[in-house]
Amino acid sequence: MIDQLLYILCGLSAGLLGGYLGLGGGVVMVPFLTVLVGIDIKQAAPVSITAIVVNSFTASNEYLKRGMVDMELVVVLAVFMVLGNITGSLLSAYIPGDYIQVVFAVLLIYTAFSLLKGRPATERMSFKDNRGKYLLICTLIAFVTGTLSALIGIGGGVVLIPILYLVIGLPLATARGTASLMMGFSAAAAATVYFLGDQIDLAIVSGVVLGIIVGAKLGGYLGTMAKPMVVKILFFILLLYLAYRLLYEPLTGLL
Amino acid sequence: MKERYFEVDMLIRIQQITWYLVMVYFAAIYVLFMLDFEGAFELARYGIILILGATVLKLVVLAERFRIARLRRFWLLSYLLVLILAAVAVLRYLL
Repeated sequence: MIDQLLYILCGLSAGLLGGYLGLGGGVVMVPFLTVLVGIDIKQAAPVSITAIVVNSFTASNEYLKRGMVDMELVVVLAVFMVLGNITGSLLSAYIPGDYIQVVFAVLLIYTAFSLLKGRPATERMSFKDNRGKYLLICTLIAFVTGTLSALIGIGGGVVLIPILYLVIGLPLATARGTASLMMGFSAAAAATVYFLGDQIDLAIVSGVVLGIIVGAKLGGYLGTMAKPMVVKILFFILLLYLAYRLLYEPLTGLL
Repeated sequence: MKERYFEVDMLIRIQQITWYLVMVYFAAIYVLFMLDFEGAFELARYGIILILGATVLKLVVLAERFRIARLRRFWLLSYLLVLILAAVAVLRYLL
């Protein structure tokens, strides 16, 4: 019974933060389930992916109602993110993970500080005025992010949202709303694979889904009213935390 | 002139209905679990089918909205995504 309450709590916290920031919530769920509850990563990952699909249709609805989702971008990002995921899983057997982890961690730290600093409006590219050109850039960003997330095993949203804001100049609220809806489509492919392979623990997923469906509703609602600076600070912390997680193993191996 | 207005009301409605269904379904599983119903969590399997089915339905609705808005490229991309998801499922099932 205590375990079940922990699963619900895990879903609730992932839904709240995920919905608020427009993320899937895997960045909260996987450490929660593995470190706090003590579940193996092989059990936690399928549960997290399934819950991300639920988080997406719950939180993104709040963003959709307020016109904070770019529908064309959703489809472009989802298609190329899934293609990137497939490429990443095919490449994972040939590419040494440690080097990519270090390079990616450095990039995350750079992104974290750039995000906090922000860019002057005059310097920022206008996505609105150059849609065609920037949609093309988005295909590349989504593909690379998808490939890396499959290679390193980190969620796509936490990387994608700051990049959409910094590189494409998409408003932070729209980037979060767009990523929130897109994440459900890209996670559905992996969730299907886990489901057909009977790899989803039904007792854990029941609790997490129940928690996330409530948490994401509230998180999504609060997220639409969030102050950009608060969002930036939360992303800053999350990006540094991810960089730490990526650097921990390769660096401890060296020492 | 091309009509580029994109209507999202249908998508919002589908997501809202799915939210209620998933919420009630998983809450019912928990009620059964508390009543010591053996195999309550086995019912979650159908809940996952509902979640994945709703995602495909959303994609099809999205594609049709793009078709109505005459955004051909995005209409094709949406169905490409449906095709990719179906191919992933079929391959996983067969291999």
